[in-house]
Amino acid sequence: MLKIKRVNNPALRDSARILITPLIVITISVITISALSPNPPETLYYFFTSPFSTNFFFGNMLNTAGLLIIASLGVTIVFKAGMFNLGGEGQVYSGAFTATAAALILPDMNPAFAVIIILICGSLTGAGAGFISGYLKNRWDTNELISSFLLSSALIHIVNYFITGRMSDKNSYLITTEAIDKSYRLIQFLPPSKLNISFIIAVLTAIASYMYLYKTAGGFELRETGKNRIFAWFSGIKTGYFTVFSFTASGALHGFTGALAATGTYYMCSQNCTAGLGWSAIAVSLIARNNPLYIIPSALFISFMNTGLSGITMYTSFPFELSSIIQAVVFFFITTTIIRKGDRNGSKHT
Amino acid sequence: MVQSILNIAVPYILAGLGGLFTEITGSLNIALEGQILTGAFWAIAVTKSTGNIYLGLAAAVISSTMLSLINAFFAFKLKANIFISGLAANMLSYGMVSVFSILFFGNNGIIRIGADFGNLQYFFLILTAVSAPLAHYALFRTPWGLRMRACGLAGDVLFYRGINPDFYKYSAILLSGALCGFSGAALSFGIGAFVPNISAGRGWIALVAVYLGYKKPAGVILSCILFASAESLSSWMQGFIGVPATIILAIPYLITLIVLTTVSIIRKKASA
Repeated sequence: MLKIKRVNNPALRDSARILITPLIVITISVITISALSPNPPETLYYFFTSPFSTNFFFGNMLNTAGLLIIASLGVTIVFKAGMFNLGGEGQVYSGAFTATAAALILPDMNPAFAVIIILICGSLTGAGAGFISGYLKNRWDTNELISSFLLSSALIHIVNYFITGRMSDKNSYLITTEAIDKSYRLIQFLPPSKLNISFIIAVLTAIASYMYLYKTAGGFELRETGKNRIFAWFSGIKTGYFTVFSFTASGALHGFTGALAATGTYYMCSQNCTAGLGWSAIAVSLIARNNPLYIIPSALFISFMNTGLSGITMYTSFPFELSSIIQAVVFFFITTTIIRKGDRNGSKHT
Repeated sequence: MVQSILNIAVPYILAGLGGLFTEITGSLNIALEGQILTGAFWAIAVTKSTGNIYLGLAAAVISSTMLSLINAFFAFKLKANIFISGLAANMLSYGMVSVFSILFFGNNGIIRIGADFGNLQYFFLILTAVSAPLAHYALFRTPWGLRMRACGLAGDVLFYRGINPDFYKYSAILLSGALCGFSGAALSFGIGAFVPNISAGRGWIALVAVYLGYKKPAGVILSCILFASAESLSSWMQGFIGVPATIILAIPYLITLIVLTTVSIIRKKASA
């Protein structure tokens, strides 16, 4: 693709590459939208302006970005330990479900305290799923790509079983659980949009993850495990511990995302409410080259694209199905320019 | 019982053999799912429009191969991460199927053809029975197969011997496209209709079968038959014990996970 002039400063080269991806992706989207739309100027206008046009769109864009940030951190921490978590979808969804279930079961109590319990329940569910994959990998060298994906797919169906069956709200026309009590919902910022306190939590989590990975001994050892497992093991690093830990933390972050989505965005767990979040999170962290701080702009960018696409399907006659094609085109181009041969960080996964 | 297990196994085996080729050349092709969906749709769409089953079959194979070609172009030519380009191929397949379904039939729901495809089931069975030994022969008894395997082990070695590894990567992914086209056609002709999300995770399961089967054609077939038995068992449980249908959908994944773990335990014990 684009030839980037070799710059000796690695930090500069990194940021140049990171900036170039969104530019190319936007160019590609403009071309694709123009090709598919019956009225390109109008559609393009709404594509770029609708995310900023109303509080509703702007708030929702930030909110989605927040959820993507936390889920992407989950992808990144496993990646840094040299593995890949494919179970994001199921971990997020089951986190959302147990959080909702906890909120429905909890007796009347102090709301702040209750919300913390609810969020912990969601995170623990994800953590449990992540732990299993990490443990199997460490104990018997079970392929983690496959085990995490299989477990996640099973979890999605198990959650659906509860939502369609014993936990379903008979009075709703949606396939969903009952709504979470108003006092257990996260604080809203920009009504009528869904923006809530989870965006701030997300930014703080990103900073905390960065501090952990790059400024602590544990984070250093985790990254060493990812770079060269055998070398790290001979250096006295507990590689097995980091295998299990990174997967558990990843699951916990995914479950946390789901819990925040349930308490802050959906107020219930409807069928497939978090669908796609896990996959998009992988894209976000690949654009950010698995750096927790770059994940924030990267998530904002993906969220902007998604909001722009839903904007044009709402304001213009642009059909909804076409937007999924544009999303696919974007995904095709996302890594073409940033992950290339001779990558310093060795962005290669098994 | 055996007949029904075999019929369930056929789409898995065809897709699994496709996944085997790409896996052996060292590319993780997660687009099997989308390729099956594409094949299933075009098989029904073209058959319904033209009334000719053979055209439908050809359309399934061609469309699925096209999708795999797009994936290969991005992954090998533009050096995209093959995982993300595979994800994109799945999204593209989903979007294209919806768009064309609306374009041709006015909705993106179930597309039915009121015809009998009884003989086609035998065609797919024979196709599977022929292609599996053929795949084994090609991979393990021909120079082409040797290079395919070398490509996965060390692509650079091929490169320095003056052989283009990309040729083998492309041929593997195109083969997977064609086989998934057949797999999708077997699925949709099997029920005489196209249903949204007809692939229902089969591409992923096929990929799992490749790993479970030690990346050997015979192993892949055994894993696929195991999975088909699990599926058949779970639908039997639904009928006889009254397990709810939604939870049934989770069982094949759980059984595969258990088998995967067991295999890795055995492997670990053997190597220790």
